[in-house]
Amino acid sequence: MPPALWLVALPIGVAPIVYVLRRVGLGAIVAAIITFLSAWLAANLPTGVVLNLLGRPIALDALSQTTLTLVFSATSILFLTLTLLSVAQEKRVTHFGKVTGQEGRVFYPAALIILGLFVAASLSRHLGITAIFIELAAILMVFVIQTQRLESTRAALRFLTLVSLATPIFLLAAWRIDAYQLSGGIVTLAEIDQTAMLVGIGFALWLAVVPFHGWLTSTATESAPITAVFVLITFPMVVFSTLINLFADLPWLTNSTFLMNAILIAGVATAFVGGVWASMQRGFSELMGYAALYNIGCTLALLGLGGQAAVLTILVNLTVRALALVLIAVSTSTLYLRVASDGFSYVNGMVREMPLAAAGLIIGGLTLAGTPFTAGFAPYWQLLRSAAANNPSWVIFLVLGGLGVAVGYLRGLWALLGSDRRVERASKPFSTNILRNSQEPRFLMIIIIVVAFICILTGLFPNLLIDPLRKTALHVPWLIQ
Amino acid sequence: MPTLLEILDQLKLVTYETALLGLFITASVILLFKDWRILILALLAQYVLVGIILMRLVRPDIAVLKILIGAFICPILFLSARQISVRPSLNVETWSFKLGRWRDLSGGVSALTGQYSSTPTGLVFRIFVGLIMILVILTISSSFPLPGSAATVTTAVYWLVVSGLVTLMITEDPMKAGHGLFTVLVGFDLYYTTLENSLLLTGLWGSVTLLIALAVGYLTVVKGTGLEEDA
Repeated sequence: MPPALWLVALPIGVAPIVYVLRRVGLGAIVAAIITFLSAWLAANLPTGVVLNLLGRPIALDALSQTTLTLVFSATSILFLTLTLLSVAQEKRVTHFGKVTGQEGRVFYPAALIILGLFVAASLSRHLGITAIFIELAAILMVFVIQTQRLESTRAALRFLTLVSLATPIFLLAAWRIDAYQLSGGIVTLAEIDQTAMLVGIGFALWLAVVPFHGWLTSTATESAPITAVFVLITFPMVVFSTLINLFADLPWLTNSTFLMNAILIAGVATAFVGGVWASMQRGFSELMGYAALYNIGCTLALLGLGGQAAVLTILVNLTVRALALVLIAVSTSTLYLRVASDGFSYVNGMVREMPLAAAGLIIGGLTLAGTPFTAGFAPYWQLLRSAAANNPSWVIFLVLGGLGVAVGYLRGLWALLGSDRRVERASKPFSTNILRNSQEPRFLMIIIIVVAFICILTGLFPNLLIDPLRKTALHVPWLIQ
Repeated sequence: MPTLLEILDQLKLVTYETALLGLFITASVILLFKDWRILILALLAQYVLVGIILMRLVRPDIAVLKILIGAFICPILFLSARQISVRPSLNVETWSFKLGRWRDLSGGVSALTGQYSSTPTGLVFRIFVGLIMILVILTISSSFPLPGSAATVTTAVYWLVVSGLVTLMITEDPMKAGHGLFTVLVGFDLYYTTLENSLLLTGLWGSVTLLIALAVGYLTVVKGTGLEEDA
């Protein structure tokens, strides 16, 4: 078997074992080890064509290699966090083979299969097959988003609906692309525009571009922090990788009269709306959703602006986004050990009881906002420079969006610093296992400190992040001027 | 007992226009009604009608495959709905009660749902939207015909896609939203199957549709309380 296919076979093959062991901590540990191993494998595999399957090339390119490494790494940290949380909640630090958290029972095996499907999607060079694999992963994500909750299906339903509506559009786009390639590659401008329209609508649905952002914000609001962040990191990252690869494979798409402008406008609008809405939220989950939406808008704007540094900046931004979201998820989950909800009125004064979790939450949020001295600043600054060169008015919207996210998290900080904490009933059933007098679990503290340190260190020395990713970016031909 | 080929031959007697009329009715039923049994029957009929249209456009086995996919989806949805359906079945008393409600549509009473409709997406609203949609679809299908498709097929595709999207917009109930989603996908299938020659993609897409049904069924069971049970 070609080595790249191990990345598909390994997670999917281990998933049944993890499913069988889902009720005990061992399943979680196996899942975490496999994702660590897959991340290492993804980083070290040779790139190039793997094989030809039914006349379709299967290839691992440099961009997919990097994004898959990031996806596997982020997931392994999330697995580890969830396992440690379960241990902390059950007060069974010394008995590692005990019951895991409720969401973990579905999350571990489903996430492994989802990762395998994402690898398959990334290996395929055919848009239709990629879309189908991503759709399959999205169907499984419905179970991850829903986990064990019974009170609402809104987030999972919105996700399923919007992603499923995009897949037929991609199949039509793939059919058109196939038809052009079979006709000898002669493409008229009208045909380019038609294909560009299909591709644009499809990716707008997948990337939660305003007004299709319902799935993203409701997933952040309704799902558990770890599962929500898994969806918010992996899905957009694979989709961005697919989009960039599509432009690399079909450079004529960028000749469309409207596509790149549409991407730019959609990106700026999404960033602006996400940022403004973020400033008005009253809970950290909701805030995370809109901050993630703002970040997606920024990444799309980078793509629309194009230029030589576009791929590198997008890669840095995706890496920073993954770091920030992981930090937010770990911090929010830690807070849930003491509070019933992450609403601002519930977390008053938590900075004194869980200072590291509170700090992690704010650092993660400010990183997403692109605040100076955090890892998010370097790609944000590059975006503002590119936008100013293109159209200065874009800068105003992007800055307002970033300020909105920062204001949202500063409001959250104000609440965390407050003195009167309301003790009300839990609004989220997955968080009812509250430990009244617990401190921050030691292992979770280590994860928060390490990730927060990376966020600040790469903010002070962005080259630590840029240099390793530069090699990948050089492999992606970029024809947008 | 007639063979499959004989049945297929008999089904070919159904004209495009008849099938289109049938699709107008089934999609309207999915838009207007909330009773899960009626929804599932309408969806099944929709798949059969699309299969009948496809028999004239593509290989008969592909058309039969599309009908079979629908025939698999409907039991998945039925079993999910049945699992959580706990209300008593229809009786004469409730039926007469429902008939009485037909007379009071203007008072905000939903005859087809059996509930007092205080929401802006009640029966009257849905009928109004359905009528507007018909006008819009007839205009769009004549202004923007799908390349390589007959006028009837174009109308059917537009109707299914738009009515499915409208159904999706006006509900958050997984069962009803699932029917809206499948209506959109059936409309897409009607067009896409005539274009795509790749059996791999056709097969994969069929599998995806079945798995979407499983996810919808799961959400229906989770939601639980959202199902209606009246005729």
